[in-house]
Amino acid sequence: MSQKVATKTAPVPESILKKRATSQKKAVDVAKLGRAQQLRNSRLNSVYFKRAEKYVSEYHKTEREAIRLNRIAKNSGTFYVPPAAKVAFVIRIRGINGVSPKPRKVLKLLRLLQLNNGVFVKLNKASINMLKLVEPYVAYGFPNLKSIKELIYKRGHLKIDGQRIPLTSNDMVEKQLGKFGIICVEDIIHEITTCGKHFKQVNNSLWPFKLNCPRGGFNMKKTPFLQGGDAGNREHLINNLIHRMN
Amino acid sequence: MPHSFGLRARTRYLFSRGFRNHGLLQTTTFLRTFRLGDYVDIKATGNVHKGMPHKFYHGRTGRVWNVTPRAVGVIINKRVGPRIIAKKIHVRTEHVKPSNSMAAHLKRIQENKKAVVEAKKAGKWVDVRRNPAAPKDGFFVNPRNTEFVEVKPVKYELLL
Repeated sequence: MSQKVATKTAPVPESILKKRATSQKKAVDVAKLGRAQQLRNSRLNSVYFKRAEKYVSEYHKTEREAIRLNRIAKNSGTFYVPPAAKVAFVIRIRGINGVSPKPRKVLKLLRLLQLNNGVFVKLNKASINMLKLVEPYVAYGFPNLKSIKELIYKRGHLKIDGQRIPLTSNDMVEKQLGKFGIICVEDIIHEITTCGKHFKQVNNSLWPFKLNCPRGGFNMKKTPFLQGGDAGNREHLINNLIHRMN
Repeated sequence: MPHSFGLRARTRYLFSRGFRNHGLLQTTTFLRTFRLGDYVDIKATGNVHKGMPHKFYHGRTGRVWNVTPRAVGVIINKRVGPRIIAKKIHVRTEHVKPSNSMAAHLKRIQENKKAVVEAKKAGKWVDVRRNPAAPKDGFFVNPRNTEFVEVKPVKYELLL
């Protein structure tokens, strides 16, 4: 009787088969997700640039409007009084020792807890009175667009879960402030510059700025600015100080 | 100096009546109606010795918590050392008068109510919250329509 030898293939364990299938599915999922993310990023990029362009033209229009009004005034023999500033930048210039209780409280409310800390403040009757209370301890004035941009791009930090996190991407801005329609750093700058509807939320999300001692030093910290010192309101000249402390 | 810490010590002027105001009080004083929760000012009047408040409470504002035939019970916050205590006192109605401290608030309540009703009728939403004064907008000044004010130091005049 002839003998027939059958060739037997080794069976594959089921767990390996399952793992293989799962890996394959995951790879497909990851690829799909990657494509979706790329698409979303490219769309977001276009949104970012559109917004930035819109803001640039807005700033330019504002500038031209001021010039136009000045010309009208000049040609018609009148005077044009520009609108009062809506936002101030306040820098603490005195240390924490020897501060009496009321100014100390106000400085705490303004979140100026350390020497050379700075914050943006929305100006109205109430906050101006607060600033008057702490005038010997702070230098403040009206920042321009350049100062605001430089501060936020160089020293901006967000408050995320109560922590001070460097502002490094538009994603974190969207995560924190997306519900107010603010999705990128340019939106933050626009909100601060124009003192928009959500100024309070944006400003509160920004951690107080930690600045350097000014290059070239202070004049006299304890003397008011109008008497040759550094304390108090210096209106648009704050931009020089910001530049030296940034 | 002899002992001078009596109940009415140092009230010679505080409780005294004004010039030409001596004599009987007006009927308004006696015919006023006080209700629970009213805000009242306490002002001791020297004409009536009965039911006078202690000199501390002269000039204070409080709330009515009790009404009796000739007096009202008033709660007044009094600072004692580091604490603030709600003191309950009874004062005759002659020494009490209604307070204006809530007048502005009540007026604002009425205005807000009216504004909200009108807005609802028009199908809109109105913001009735108070806001601190905002920075001023830009404007033109026409020197031909404006009165000039010259600002300069006042010349020194020797007065002899």
